[in-house]
Amino acid sequence: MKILAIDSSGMPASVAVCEDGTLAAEYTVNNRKTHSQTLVPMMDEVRNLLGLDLESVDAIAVAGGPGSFTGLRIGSAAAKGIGLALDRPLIHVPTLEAMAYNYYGSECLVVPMLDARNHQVFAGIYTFRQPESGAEQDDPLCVLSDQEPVGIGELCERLDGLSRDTGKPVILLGDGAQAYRTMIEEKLKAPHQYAPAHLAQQRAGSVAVRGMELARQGRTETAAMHRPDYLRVSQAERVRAEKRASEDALRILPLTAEDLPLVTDAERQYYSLPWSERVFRDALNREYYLFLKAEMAGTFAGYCGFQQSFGIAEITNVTVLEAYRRRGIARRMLQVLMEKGRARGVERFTLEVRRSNEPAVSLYKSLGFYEEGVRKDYYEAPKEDALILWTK
Amino acid sequence: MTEKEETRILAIESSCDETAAAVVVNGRDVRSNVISSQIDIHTLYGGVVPEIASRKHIERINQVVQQALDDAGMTLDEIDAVAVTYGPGLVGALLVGVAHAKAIAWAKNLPLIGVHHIEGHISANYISSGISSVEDGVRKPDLEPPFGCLVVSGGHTHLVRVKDYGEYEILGKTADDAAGEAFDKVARAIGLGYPGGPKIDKAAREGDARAIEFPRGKVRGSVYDFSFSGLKSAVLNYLNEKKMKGEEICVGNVAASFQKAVVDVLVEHSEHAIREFGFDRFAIAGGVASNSALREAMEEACRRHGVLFYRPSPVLCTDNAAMIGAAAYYEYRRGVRSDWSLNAVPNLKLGER
Repeated sequence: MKILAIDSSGMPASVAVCEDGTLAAEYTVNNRKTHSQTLVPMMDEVRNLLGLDLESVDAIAVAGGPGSFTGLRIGSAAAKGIGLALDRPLIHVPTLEAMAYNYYGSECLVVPMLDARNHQVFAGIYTFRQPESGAEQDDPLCVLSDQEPVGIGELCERLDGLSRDTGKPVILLGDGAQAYRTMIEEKLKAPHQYAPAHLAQQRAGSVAVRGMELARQGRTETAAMHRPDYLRVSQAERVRAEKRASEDALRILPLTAEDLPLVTDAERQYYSLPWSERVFRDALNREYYLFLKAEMAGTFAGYCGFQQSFGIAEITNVTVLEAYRRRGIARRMLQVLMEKGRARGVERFTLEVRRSNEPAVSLYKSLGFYEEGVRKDYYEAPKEDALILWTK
Repeated sequence: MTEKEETRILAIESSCDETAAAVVVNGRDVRSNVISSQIDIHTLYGGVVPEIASRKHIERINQVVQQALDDAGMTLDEIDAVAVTYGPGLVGALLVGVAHAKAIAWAKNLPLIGVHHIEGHISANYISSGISSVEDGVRKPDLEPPFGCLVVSGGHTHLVRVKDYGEYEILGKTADDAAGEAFDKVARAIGLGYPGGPKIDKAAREGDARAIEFPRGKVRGSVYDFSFSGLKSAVLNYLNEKKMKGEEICVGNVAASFQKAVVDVLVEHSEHAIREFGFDRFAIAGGVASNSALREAMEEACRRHGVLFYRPSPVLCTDNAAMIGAAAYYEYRRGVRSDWSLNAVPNLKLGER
């Protein structure tokens, strides 16, 4: 089986041609030049030096991730183009499995890791099955922990545990091992060593050999179906998912007597003239009051309410506990409160707010409130004017 | 024409949020034109997210290229050259097309031609299957240089003098926002959503273009350059003011008045160029070229000046690969070849090589 292999997942760009037990060519360049510019010229050089007829290639193996998103795509797009042009299958080789092959046959815990920023790495933990331990059909690579994003601290703990249980020392390789070496030295207790330069980085020869094993197991794919495995969603998707999850976790419910101890705590903490528990208890029993609370993932996060007089409602006690602020809870709470008020016949809402409380003022304005007057020195400690806001 | 004289180009385009491939023969005969749009995904985010665009390109590119070959009834063995957009655009998105096109060309020993995205838009006007070639039942001659061209899209606003195939002189460009960008931002502000161009075009039909007097942007010291950020701010200020006063906003009137302000400036600058350079042909190109108000106003202006007016069919106005194949053909004839180190150039300038 003849394989053309590509790895552009990290800083090194690497291409190789491997036929069964022979590595015919391997070309690795590790500098800052973009893979977009170097990869195809490198392949071209390899083809020319080997006098390679591409028609003789059986499959294209590519480091499929993790790695730099752009780097992965350059390698993938090239592999997919070659696959399309030659009508050959692709072999998606997990980047870190290929890197583990740099230490093929080792009995150590082989740990390739790529820098994923913010004290995180993409890492996997591997070791190799020894010849006497299994039948010949077995995959020589033993995956103890599949490649995934992980914090340095957690990885070191995991390695300490594994090393203690198995008695195996640890070998660290990849740019993550270099980037976080100081942190690793602080945290990792297990006996360990760092890979030397020629074994420390991605190389297409390893991608080719690992790819051949995967192909033997039937794990090939069409060029059309291949896509990189980034091990991380894009930032925009993550932000959107978080936002939706927090919206899902937020519930606006009627305030009940059981909540009052939490409410009076908050009153005492945040207001110079707090309402007492008795005032709230009284309000909850009267029809012209309505009080709501916000729960974040089942935990009390804030409350608000109004006192209604015919078509007018005065909104009071808009409070979000400090730990839950800046998440749009007040907005959601007020939206629900005003909706319920309108359903009860409220036509206009009014409220008072400290002049200096700019976030609150701008929130109210975005909900349709406008300034209609000022109460001089209304608030105590510190003394301050109250703005009187009304809706239309 | 005998088969030997045909130059068949496989073209690939991935500069923004459309994954596209086409087979074009001799620059004007489109044998296939496949466009896979990602617009549904980006609509969720209110605009194109580069990382998501890049990911979608790589998932679809093989299917799109294969479809283009299948639709044309050809295999790669019958293709003479591979063309690809290498800029301007989103770098991550461009890289997918560039790496893919290079690999295909390399594996099949075919020449590679890197194409400028805007030159592609301009060249869409060479494609004879464009509906604009027939007017009042009379077939216009195929467009050939020299001519003037107004390129307007989400990312570009250029007034260009096309001196010859592959020879471009930029007369004017935007000093700030692209016209299409202003459309997107204004559409968002009046609650029409993304993409702004078609939505404003539609809303404007219900409104009065003279209802609100928005400013016509000028750039000091240049008769051809454009500025749309002042107009955009004027619209946003107008909306804020209305909101503060609690007054109703007529979306149709805002859309129509804003659109008129954009179109007036585009047409005025184009007419100035027609007079100064004596063009007898004038073309429009780019996504905004399918805007009905711009099309009608430009057509009318060209009629007034006795100039033949060209515009691509709507499908060739949006990002597509057929236009890249058209541009590539004339590059190919001029002997332009890219080498294997061709890179994506996100801010590639027109006429720069």
